Amino acid sequence: MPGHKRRYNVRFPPSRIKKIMQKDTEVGRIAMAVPVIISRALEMFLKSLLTKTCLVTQSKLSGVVSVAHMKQCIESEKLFHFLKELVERVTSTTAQRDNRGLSVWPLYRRRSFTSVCNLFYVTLNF
Amino acid sequence: MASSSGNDDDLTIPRAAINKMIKETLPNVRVANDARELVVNCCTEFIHLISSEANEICNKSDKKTISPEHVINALESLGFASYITEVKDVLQECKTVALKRRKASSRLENLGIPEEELLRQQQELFAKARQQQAELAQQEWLQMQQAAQRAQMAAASSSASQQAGSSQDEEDDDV
Repeated sequence: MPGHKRRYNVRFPPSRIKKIMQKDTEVGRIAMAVPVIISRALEMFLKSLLTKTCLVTQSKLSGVVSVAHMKQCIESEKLFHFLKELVERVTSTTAQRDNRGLSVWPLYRRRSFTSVCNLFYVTLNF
Repeated sequence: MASSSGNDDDLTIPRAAINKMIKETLPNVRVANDARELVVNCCTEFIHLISSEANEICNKSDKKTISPEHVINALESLGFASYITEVKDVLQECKTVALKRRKASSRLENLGIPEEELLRQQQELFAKARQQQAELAQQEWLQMQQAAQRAQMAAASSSASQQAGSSQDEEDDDV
């Protein structure tokens, strides 16, 4: 697309954020500024997650930030506990075969995400 | 977006944006590829977390649309209160941009020209167009007439020459 100007000074595409939000069928209409402010909140969240994970990496005297370091960080920080199931799925043996960390958020809320539910049933069978 | 590779279910924040974020937050730090992939998926989780909470807050209010205020309250209740100051700054920027855009579109509508003048210009353009159409129609009519005349004359002369040259036809039959 020729020269797409950035309308807002945010890092992540608001249009994509809106689509992700609307995967939840319960979510209805969204004011225009909402994906924009979520973009900023996401940025702050990632900064925090990455920085704290890096502390774990350094404490292990490792040169590379790994999934294991992220897992330890997520488990040690209460604010990140909503990521616990995601990281557990990613570090389990079945996930190593799949290597796809699909969203596990529906497990908290019991919404109908057919694709994730199917994957969930598949992993249960192992 | 005209082209879309991958189906709807793989909706994530673009990997390039995440890589950029990582590079700026942890300069000169190596990050494993699967860790980067995990970060991408953490974004989706975060978005759902905030959306869901904001949606519930919205439902409790008498509004049908999730507003920035609902999102701010969601951040508060989920423990991300420290983000609110910066988020409010971005919200202010949004409002400023929206205001500028509204002003710009109303300025464009007026173009500094008063309505009566715009109306007059419109009438002028219509009159000109009507005239052009009339001229075009007249030309076409003239051409049709001329063509009809020529056809008539051609028919008349050919029937005349047919009568004159009918004796020659039998010689030409074997060609």
